[in-house]
Amino acid sequence: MGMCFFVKRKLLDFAEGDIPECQAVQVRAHLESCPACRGRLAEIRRGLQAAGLHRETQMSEDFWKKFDVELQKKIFERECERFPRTGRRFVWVASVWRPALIALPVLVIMFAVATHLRVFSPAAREEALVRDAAWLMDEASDEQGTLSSDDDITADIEILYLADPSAFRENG
Amino acid sequence: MTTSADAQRSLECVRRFQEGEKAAFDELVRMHQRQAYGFVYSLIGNVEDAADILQEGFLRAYEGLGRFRGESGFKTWFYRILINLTRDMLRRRGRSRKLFSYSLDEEDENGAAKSVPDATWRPDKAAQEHECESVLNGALCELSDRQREAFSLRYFQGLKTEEVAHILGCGVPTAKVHIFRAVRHIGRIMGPYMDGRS
Repeated sequence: MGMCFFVKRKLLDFAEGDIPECQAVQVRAHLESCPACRGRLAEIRRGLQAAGLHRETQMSEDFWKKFDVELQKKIFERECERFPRTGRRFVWVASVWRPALIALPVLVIMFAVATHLRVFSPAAREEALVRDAAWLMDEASDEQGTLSSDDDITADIEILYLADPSAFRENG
Repeated sequence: MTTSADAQRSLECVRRFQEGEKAAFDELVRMHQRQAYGFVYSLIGNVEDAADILQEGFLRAYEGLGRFRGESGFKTWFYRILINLTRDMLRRRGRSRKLFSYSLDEEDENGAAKSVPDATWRPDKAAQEHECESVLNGALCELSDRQREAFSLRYFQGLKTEEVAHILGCGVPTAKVHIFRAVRHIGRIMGPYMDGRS
Protein backbone atom coordinates (compact mmCIF):
# COMPACT_ATOMS: atom_id res chain seq x y z
CA MET A 1 0.00 0.00 0.00
CA GLY A 2 2.84 2.37 0.91
CA MET A 3 4.56 1.52 -2.33
CA CYS A 4 1.36 2.25 -4.27
CA PHE A 5 1.32 5.75 -2.76
CA PHE A 6 4.93 6.31 -3.85
CA VAL A 7 4.40 4.86 -7.36
CA LYS A 8 1.17 6.77 -7.92
CA ARG A 9 3.05 10.05 -7.50
CA LYS A 10 5.66 8.93 -10.00
CA LEU A 11 3.40 7.39 -12.65
CA LEU A 12 3.00 10.50 -14.79
CA ASP A 13 6.75 11.16 -14.86
CA PHE A 14 7.29 7.46 -15.55
CA ALA A 15 4.85 7.51 -18.47
CA GLU A 16 6.55 10.58 -19.88
CA GLY A 17 10.01 9.07 -19.39
CA ASP A 18 10.97 11.93 -17.10
CA ILE A 19 12.18 9.96 -14.08
CA PRO A 20 15.64 8.92 -12.80
CA GLU A 21 16.57 5.33 -13.67
CA CYS A 22 16.81 4.23 -10.02
CA GLN A 23 13.19 5.28 -9.44
CA ALA A 24 12.07 3.80 -12.76
CA VAL A 25 13.41 0.40 -11.64
CA GLN A 26 11.36 0.63 -8.44
CA VAL A 27 8.22 1.61 -10.36
CA ARG A 28 8.66 -1.20 -12.86
CA ALA A 29 9.12 -3.73 -10.07
CA HIS A 30 5.99 -2.52 -8.33
CA LEU A 31 3.92 -2.51 -11.53
CA GLU A 32 4.63 -6.19 -12.08
CA SER A 33 2.96 -7.05 -8.82
CA CYS A 34 0.20 -4.39 -8.63
CA PRO A 35 -2.74 -4.55 -11.08
CA ALA A 36 -4.27 -1.31 -9.66
CA CYS A 37 -1.16 0.71 -10.51
CA ARG A 38 -0.96 -0.98 -13.92
CA GLY A 39 -4.54 0.18 -14.54
CA ARG A 40 -3.62 3.72 -13.49
CA LEU A 41 -0.62 3.71 -15.81
CA ALA A 42 -2.80 2.54 -18.70
CA GLU A 43 -5.23 5.41 -18.06
CA ILE A 44 -2.39 7.90 -17.97
CA ARG A 45 -0.94 6.58 -21.22
CA ARG A 46 -4.35 6.86 -22.89
CA GLY A 47 -4.71 10.39 -21.53
CA LEU A 48 -1.34 11.40 -22.95
CA GLN A 49 -2.20 9.80 -26.26
CA ALA A 50 -5.51 11.69 -26.30
CA ALA A 51 -3.71 14.97 -25.66
CA GLY A 52 -1.81 14.33 -28.88
CA LEU A 53 -5.11 14.25 -30.77
CA HIS A 54 -5.73 17.88 -29.99
CA ARG A 55 -5.58 20.08 -33.06
CA GLU A 56 -4.80 23.74 -32.75
CA THR A 57 -7.86 25.77 -33.69
CA GLN A 58 -7.03 27.28 -37.06
CA MET A 59 -8.76 30.53 -37.84
CA SER A 60 -8.87 32.14 -41.27
CA GLU A 61 -6.66 35.04 -42.35
CA ASP A 62 -9.77 37.23 -42.58
CA PHE A 63 -10.49 36.48 -38.95
CA TRP A 64 -6.98 37.63 -37.95
CA LYS A 65 -7.15 40.77 -40.11
CA LYS A 66 -10.44 41.71 -38.46
CA PHE A 67 -8.95 40.85 -35.09
CA ASP A 68 -5.94 43.15 -35.68
CA VAL A 69 -8.13 46.04 -36.83
CA GLU A 70 -10.39 45.66 -33.79
CA LEU A 71 -7.39 45.49 -31.48
CA GLN A 72 -5.82 48.64 -32.94
CA LYS A 73 -9.16 50.43 -32.58
CA LYS A 74 -9.45 49.38 -28.93
CA ILE A 75 -5.86 50.39 -28.19
CA PHE A 76 -6.57 53.82 -29.70
CA GLU A 77 -9.73 54.17 -27.60
CA ARG A 78 -7.82 53.25 -24.44
CA GLU A 79 -5.13 55.78 -25.32
CA CYS A 80 -7.84 58.44 -25.75
CA GLU A 81 -9.23 57.56 -22.33
CA ARG A 82 -5.80 57.88 -20.77
CA PHE A 83 -5.00 61.16 -22.57
CA PRO A 84 -8.15 63.29 -23.01
CA ARG A 85 -8.57 65.21 -26.27
CA THR A 86 -7.05 68.51 -25.11
CA GLY A 87 -4.22 66.75 -23.44
CA ARG A 88 -3.50 64.78 -26.59
CA ARG A 89 -3.45 67.92 -28.68
CA PHE A 90 -1.08 69.58 -26.25
CA VAL A 91 1.19 66.55 -26.28
CA TRP A 92 1.18 66.57 -30.09
CA VAL A 93 1.91 70.32 -30.30
CA ALA A 94 4.57 70.07 -27.68
CA SER A 95 6.33 67.27 -29.49
CA VAL A 96 6.27 68.94 -32.92
CA TRP A 97 6.71 72.59 -32.00
CA ARG A 98 8.67 72.11 -28.80
CA PRO A 99 11.80 74.02 -30.01
CA ALA A 100 9.66 76.94 -31.18
CA LEU A 101 7.67 76.96 -27.94
CA ILE A 102 10.88 77.13 -25.94
CA ALA A 103 12.55 79.71 -28.23
CA LEU A 104 9.61 82.13 -28.35
CA PRO A 105 9.66 83.32 -24.71
CA VAL A 106 13.46 83.48 -24.81
CA LEU A 107 13.31 85.75 -27.87
CA VAL A 108 10.67 87.96 -26.23
CA ILE A 109 12.82 88.35 -23.13
CA MET A 110 15.91 89.14 -25.21
CA PHE A 111 13.99 91.75 -27.23
CA ALA A 112 12.69 93.36 -24.04
CA VAL A 113 16.18 93.54 -22.54
CA ALA A 114 17.62 94.99 -25.76
CA THR A 115 14.89 97.63 -25.96
CA HIS A 116 15.41 98.55 -22.33
CA LEU A 117 19.15 98.96 -22.84
CA ARG A 118 18.63 101.03 -25.97
CA VAL A 119 16.15 103.42 -24.34
CA PHE A 120 17.82 103.82 -20.99
CA SER A 121 21.53 103.65 -21.88
CA PRO A 122 23.65 106.84 -21.10
CA ALA A 123 24.36 107.43 -24.80
CA ALA A 124 20.66 107.20 -25.66
CA ARG A 125 19.74 109.56 -22.86
CA GLU A 126 22.36 112.10 -24.05
CA GLU A 127 21.11 111.86 -27.59
CA ALA A 128 17.57 112.49 -26.37
CA LEU A 129 18.74 115.57 -24.42
CA VAL A 130 20.43 117.06 -27.50
CA ARG A 131 17.31 116.37 -29.56
CA ASP A 132 15.13 118.03 -26.95
CA ALA A 133 17.45 121.07 -26.76
CA ALA A 134 17.38 121.47 -30.53
CA TRP A 135 13.62 121.25 -30.53
CA LEU A 136 13.34 123.86 -27.74
CA MET A 137 15.65 126.20 -29.63
CA ASP A 138 13.60 125.70 -32.74
CA GLU A 139 10.41 126.49 -30.85
CA ALA A 140 11.92 129.60 -29.30
CA SER A 141 13.13 130.87 -32.69
CA ASP A 142 9.71 130.27 -34.17
CA GLU A 143 8.12 132.36 -31.42
CA GLN A 144 10.56 135.24 -32.09
CA GLY A 145 10.01 134.87 -35.84
CA THR A 146 13.70 135.52 -36.54
CA LEU A 147 14.56 132.05 -37.81
CA SER A 148 12.48 130.30 -40.38
CA SER A 149 14.68 127.71 -42.00
CA ASP A 150 17.31 125.04 -41.19
CA ASP A 151 19.99 127.14 -42.86
CA ASP A 152 19.23 130.02 -40.53
CA ILE A 153 19.48 127.73 -37.46
CA THR A 154 22.80 126.35 -38.61
CA ALA A 155 24.14 129.84 -39.22
CA ASP A 156 22.96 130.94 -35.81
CA ILE A 157 24.69 127.96 -34.13
CA GLU A 158 27.88 128.71 -35.97
CA ILE A 159 27.79 132.29 -34.71
CA LEU A 160 27.19 131.09 -31.14
CA TYR A 161 30.09 128.63 -31.45
CA LEU A 162 32.48 131.24 -32.72
CA ALA A 163 31.46 133.51 -29.87
CA ASP A 164 31.93 130.94 -27.09
CA PRO A 165 33.29 127.43 -28.10
CA SER A 166 33.72 126.36 -24.43
CA ALA A 167 29.93 126.38 -23.88
CA PHE A 168 29.54 123.84 -26.67
CA ARG A 169 32.30 121.63 -25.30
CA GLU A 170 30.65 121.55 -21.85
CA ASN A 171 27.25 120.60 -23.31
CA GLY A 172 28.74 118.01 -25.68
CA MET B 1 5.59 25.41 -28.60
CA THR B 2 7.85 28.19 -27.50
CA THR B 3 11.52 27.84 -28.15
CA SER B 4 14.09 29.84 -26.26
CA ALA B 5 14.69 31.80 -29.48
CA ASP B 6 11.00 32.82 -29.51
CA ALA B 7 11.22 33.75 -25.84
CA GLN B 8 14.30 35.88 -26.54
CA ARG B 9 12.57 37.54 -29.48
CA SER B 10 9.56 38.30 -27.29
CA LEU B 11 11.73 39.86 -24.60
CA GLU B 12 13.52 41.89 -27.27
CA CYS B 13 10.15 43.19 -28.51
CA VAL B 14 9.16 44.04 -24.93
CA ARG B 15 12.40 45.99 -24.45
CA ARG B 16 11.83 47.92 -27.69
CA PHE B 17 8.26 48.67 -26.67
CA GLN B 18 9.42 49.93 -23.29
CA GLU B 19 11.87 52.23 -25.08
CA GLY B 20 8.95 53.77 -26.96
CA GLU B 21 8.76 51.75 -30.18
CA LYS B 22 5.02 51.10 -30.42
CA ALA B 23 5.41 48.89 -33.50
CA ALA B 24 7.18 46.29 -31.35
CA PHE B 25 3.85 45.53 -29.72
CA ASP B 26 2.32 44.64 -33.09
CA GLU B 27 5.15 42.18 -33.55
CA LEU B 28 4.39 40.64 -30.16
CA VAL B 29 0.73 40.31 -31.11
CA ARG B 30 1.60 38.58 -34.38
CA MET B 31 3.99 36.22 -32.59
CA HIS B 32 1.57 35.08 -29.92
CA GLN B 33 -1.98 35.61 -31.13
CA ARG B 34 -2.60 32.25 -32.80
CA GLN B 35 -1.18 30.06 -30.06
CA ALA B 36 -2.79 32.17 -27.34
CA TYR B 37 -6.10 31.95 -29.12
CA GLY B 38 -5.83 28.15 -29.17
CA PHE B 39 -5.09 28.19 -25.47
CA VAL B 40 -8.04 30.40 -24.55
CA TYR B 41 -10.30 28.42 -26.83
CA SER B 42 -9.27 25.19 -25.10
CA LEU B 43 -10.37 26.74 -21.80
CA ILE B 44 -13.60 28.38 -22.85
CA GLY B 45 -14.71 26.46 -25.93
CA ASN B 46 -16.35 29.36 -27.71
CA VAL B 47 -14.98 31.21 -30.74
CA GLU B 48 -16.34 34.68 -29.93
CA ASP B 49 -15.55 34.54 -26.23
CA ALA B 50 -12.02 33.35 -26.97
CA ALA B 51 -11.51 36.29 -29.38
CA ASP B 52 -12.91 38.76 -26.81
CA ILE B 53 -10.66 37.43 -24.06
CA LEU B 54 -7.63 37.50 -26.32
CA GLN B 55 -8.30 41.12 -27.31
CA GLU B 56 -8.76 42.18 -23.72
CA GLY B 57 -5.61 40.25 -22.83
CA PHE B 58 -3.58 42.13 -25.43
CA LEU B 59 -5.04 45.43 -24.23
CA ARG B 60 -4.01 44.64 -20.65
CA ALA B 61 -0.59 43.61 -21.89
CA TYR B 62 -0.29 46.91 -23.80
CA GLU B 63 -1.13 48.86 -20.67
CA GLY B 64 0.97 46.77 -18.32
CA LEU B 65 4.01 46.12 -20.46
CA GLY B 66 5.69 49.25 -19.14
CA ARG B 67 5.80 47.62 -15.72
CA PHE B 68 6.95 44.22 -17.01
CA ARG B 69 10.40 43.57 -15.56
CA GLY B 70 11.25 40.36 -17.37
CA GLU B 71 11.44 38.19 -14.25
CA SER B 72 9.45 35.57 -16.15
CA GLY B 73 9.03 35.06 -19.87
CA PHE B 74 6.57 37.23 -21.77
CA LYS B 75 4.48 34.17 -22.63
CA THR B 76 4.20 33.12 -18.98
CA TRP B 77 3.24 36.65 -17.99
CA PHE B 78 0.74 37.02 -20.83
CA TYR B 79 -0.86 33.63 -20.25
CA ARG B 80 -1.40 34.54 -16.63
CA ILE B 81 -3.39 37.57 -17.80
CA LEU B 82 -5.41 35.34 -20.12
CA ILE B 83 -6.08 32.80 -17.36
CA ASN B 84 -7.36 35.54 -15.04
CA LEU B 85 -9.61 36.97 -17.76
CA THR B 86 -10.95 33.52 -18.57
CA ARG B 87 -11.68 32.82 -14.91
CA ASP B 88 -13.48 36.18 -14.65
CA MET B 89 -15.60 35.42 -17.68
CA LEU B 90 -16.48 31.92 -16.49
CA ARG B 91 -17.37 33.31 -13.07
CA ARG B 92 -19.61 35.97 -14.64
CA ARG B 93 -21.33 33.49 -16.89
CA GLY B 94 -21.81 30.95 -14.13
CA ARG B 95 -21.28 27.25 -14.21
CA SER B 96 -24.29 26.61 -16.42
CA ARG B 97 -22.51 27.57 -19.62
CA LYS B 98 -21.80 24.92 -22.14
CA LEU B 99 -18.22 24.58 -23.25
CA PHE B 100 -17.40 23.53 -26.81
CA SER B 101 -20.96 24.16 -27.85
CA TYR B 102 -20.39 24.56 -31.58
CA SER B 103 -20.06 21.86 -34.18
CA LEU B 104 -17.44 21.72 -36.93
CA ASP B 105 -20.08 22.82 -39.49
CA GLU B 106 -20.37 26.15 -37.69
CA GLU B 107 -16.65 26.78 -37.82
CA ASP B 108 -16.72 28.45 -41.20
CA GLU B 109 -19.46 30.88 -40.24
CA ASN B 110 -17.44 31.84 -37.19
CA GLY B 111 -14.32 32.42 -39.19
CA ALA B 112 -12.44 29.18 -38.68
CA ALA B 113 -10.51 27.99 -41.68
CA LYS B 114 -12.08 25.28 -43.77
CA SER B 115 -9.91 22.22 -43.96
CA VAL B 116 -9.54 21.31 -47.60
CA PRO B 117 -9.61 17.55 -48.14
CA ASP B 118 -6.58 16.24 -49.97
CA ALA B 119 -6.16 13.04 -51.97
CA THR B 120 -5.56 10.98 -48.81
CA TRP B 121 -8.68 12.27 -47.13
CA ARG B 122 -11.05 9.51 -46.04
CA PRO B 123 -14.53 10.36 -44.78
CA ASP B 124 -14.66 7.45 -42.32
CA LYS B 125 -11.29 8.42 -40.81
CA ALA B 126 -12.27 12.09 -40.66
CA ALA B 127 -15.53 11.19 -38.96
CA GLN B 128 -13.65 9.07 -36.44
CA GLU B 129 -11.19 11.87 -35.71
CA HIS B 130 -14.05 14.32 -35.39
CA GLU B 131 -15.71 11.98 -32.92
CA CYS B 132 -12.47 11.57 -30.94
CA GLU B 133 -12.03 15.32 -30.79
CA SER B 134 -15.60 15.81 -29.63
CA VAL B 135 -15.10 13.25 -26.89
CA LEU B 136 -11.83 14.91 -25.91
CA ASN B 137 -13.58 18.27 -25.70
CA GLY B 138 -16.32 16.66 -23.64
CA ALA B 139 -13.71 15.19 -21.29
CA LEU B 140 -12.05 18.61 -20.98
CA CYS B 141 -15.42 20.10 -19.98
CA GLU B 142 -15.71 17.65 -17.14
CA LEU B 143 -12.42 18.74 -15.62
CA SER B 144 -12.27 21.40 -12.95
CA ASP B 145 -11.08 24.82 -14.19
CA ARG B 146 -7.64 24.36 -12.62
CA GLN B 147 -7.21 20.88 -14.07
CA ARG B 148 -8.24 22.07 -17.54
CA GLU B 149 -5.87 25.03 -17.35
CA ALA B 150 -3.00 22.83 -16.19
CA PHE B 151 -3.67 20.17 -18.81
CA SER B 152 -3.97 22.70 -21.64
CA LEU B 153 -0.81 24.55 -20.64
CA ARG B 154 1.20 21.37 -20.24
CA TYR B 155 0.13 19.39 -23.30
CA PHE B 156 -1.47 21.81 -25.76
CA GLN B 157 0.98 24.65 -25.15
CA GLY B 158 3.95 22.44 -24.33
CA LEU B 159 5.02 24.32 -21.21
CA LYS B 160 7.11 22.81 -18.44
CA THR B 161 5.46 21.94 -15.14
CA GLU B 162 7.36 24.79 -13.43
CA GLU B 163 5.96 27.28 -15.95
CA VAL B 164 2.47 25.83 -15.52
CA ALA B 165 2.79 26.29 -11.76
CA HIS B 166 3.94 29.88 -12.23
CA ILE B 167 1.04 30.73 -14.53
CA LEU B 168 -1.51 29.08 -12.26
CA GLY B 169 0.00 30.82 -9.24
CA CYS B 170 0.57 27.62 -7.30
CA GLY B 171 3.47 25.38 -6.31
CA VAL B 172 4.98 22.76 -8.60
CA PRO B 173 3.58 19.80 -6.59
CA THR B 174 0.07 21.26 -6.79
CA ALA B 175 0.42 21.80 -10.53
CA LYS B 176 1.61 18.18 -10.88
CA VAL B 177 -1.46 16.94 -9.01
CA HIS B 178 -3.77 18.96 -11.31
CA ILE B 179 -2.02 17.58 -14.38
CA PHE B 180 -2.04 14.02 -13.06
CA ARG B 181 -5.76 14.08 -12.28
CA ALA B 182 -6.61 15.69 -15.62
CA VAL B 183 -4.57 13.17 -17.60
CA ARG B 184 -6.07 10.25 -15.71
CA HIS B 185 -9.62 11.50 -16.16
CA ILE B 186 -9.14 12.07 -19.88
CA GLY B 187 -7.50 8.67 -20.22
CA ARG B 188 -10.49 7.09 -18.51
CA ILE B 189 -13.00 8.86 -20.80
CA MET B 190 -10.96 8.40 -23.97
CA GLY B 191 -10.09 4.77 -23.22
CA PRO B 192 -12.34 3.04 -25.75
CA TYR B 193 -11.32 5.43 -28.54
CA MET B 194 -7.61 5.15 -27.80
CA ASP B 195 -7.70 1.34 -27.60
CA GLY B 196 -9.37 1.28 -31.01
CA ARG B 197 -6.66 3.55 -32.48
CA SER B 198 -3.71 1.70 -31.04
